[in-house]
Amino acid sequence: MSSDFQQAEQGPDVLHDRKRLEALAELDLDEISRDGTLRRIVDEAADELDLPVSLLSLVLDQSQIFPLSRGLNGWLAEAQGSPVEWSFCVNAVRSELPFVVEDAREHPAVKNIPLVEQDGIRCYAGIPLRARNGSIVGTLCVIGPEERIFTEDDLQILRQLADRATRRIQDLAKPA
Amino acid sequence: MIRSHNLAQPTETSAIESIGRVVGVEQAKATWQRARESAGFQNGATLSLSDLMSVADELARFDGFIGVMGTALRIRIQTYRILDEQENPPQQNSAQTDL
Repeated sequence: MSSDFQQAEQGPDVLHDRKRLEALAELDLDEISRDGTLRRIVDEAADELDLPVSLLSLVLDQSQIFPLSRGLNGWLAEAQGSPVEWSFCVNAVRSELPFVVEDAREHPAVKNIPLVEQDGIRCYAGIPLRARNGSIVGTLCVIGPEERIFTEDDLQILRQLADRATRRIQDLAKPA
Repeated sequence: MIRSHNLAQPTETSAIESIGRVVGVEQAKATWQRARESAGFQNGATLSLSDLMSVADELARFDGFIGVMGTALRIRIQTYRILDEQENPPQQNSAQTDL
C-alpha cells in the first residue's frame, strides 16, 4: 500500500468536507461541459499522452462526475460518472497529490474496484485540480486499457495541462 | 444488488445517511424531507428508484453544497439504473421472440 493511500485512510474524510463541497457548488457543470478551453485541454491530455481516454473529473461526496470526457464508452459514457468508491481520482483528491497507476491489477488502492475487474482499466494518471478556496475538487486524468509506464515527461505534460485547467475552473467559478 | 459491480441499490435511507455525513443526522432528515416535499411525495410513502431520482433532482436544485450532494446522488442512481439494465435486460414477450 502506498504511503499516500495510507495517509488518505486516516482522519475525517475530505470527501465530506463542507468547504470542499462549497467550492464544488461554485462550479456550473453545464458551463464547464460547454467550455472550449477546457474541452481543448481534455483533448490535448489524451493526444499528448497517447491514451484513449481523458477526463475532467469532479469528485463529489458519494460520486464522481465527468463534465468533460474524451473516449469513454459503455456504461461510463452513459452515466458520465460513477460511485466514488470506484474512483481512481478520489486518491488524488484525498492525498492532494498526483495519483499514478501503471498496472491497476497490482495497485493496492484500485486493484479490487469494478472499473479494473469488470471494465478493464489498466493505467491511470490524474493531477489534482484546486479550487480558489484551496480545496481539491477533482482531477485532469488520462486512462488506458493497457499497462503503461508514465515517464517524468508524461507527468510534466499532464501537470501543465492541469495547471491550465485549474486556472480556467477558478475563472469560471461563481462564488455564492 | 448489481452483482457484477457489487453495487447496492440506492435507497432513501442510504441517501439520508450520505447527507448526514456532511451536515449531521437531524439536518439531513430535514433537508431530505424538504426535497421530498418539493418532489411531491407524501410523508411515509415508499419511494421507488424513479421516485428517489425525482427527490435527487430536487436536491440538486438546492443552493450550495446541498445541491452538490443532490448531483452526487443522481449519478449514483443513474449508475445503478444503467448497470441494472445491463445485468437484467428487459424481457421480450414471447410473441416478439417468436417473430
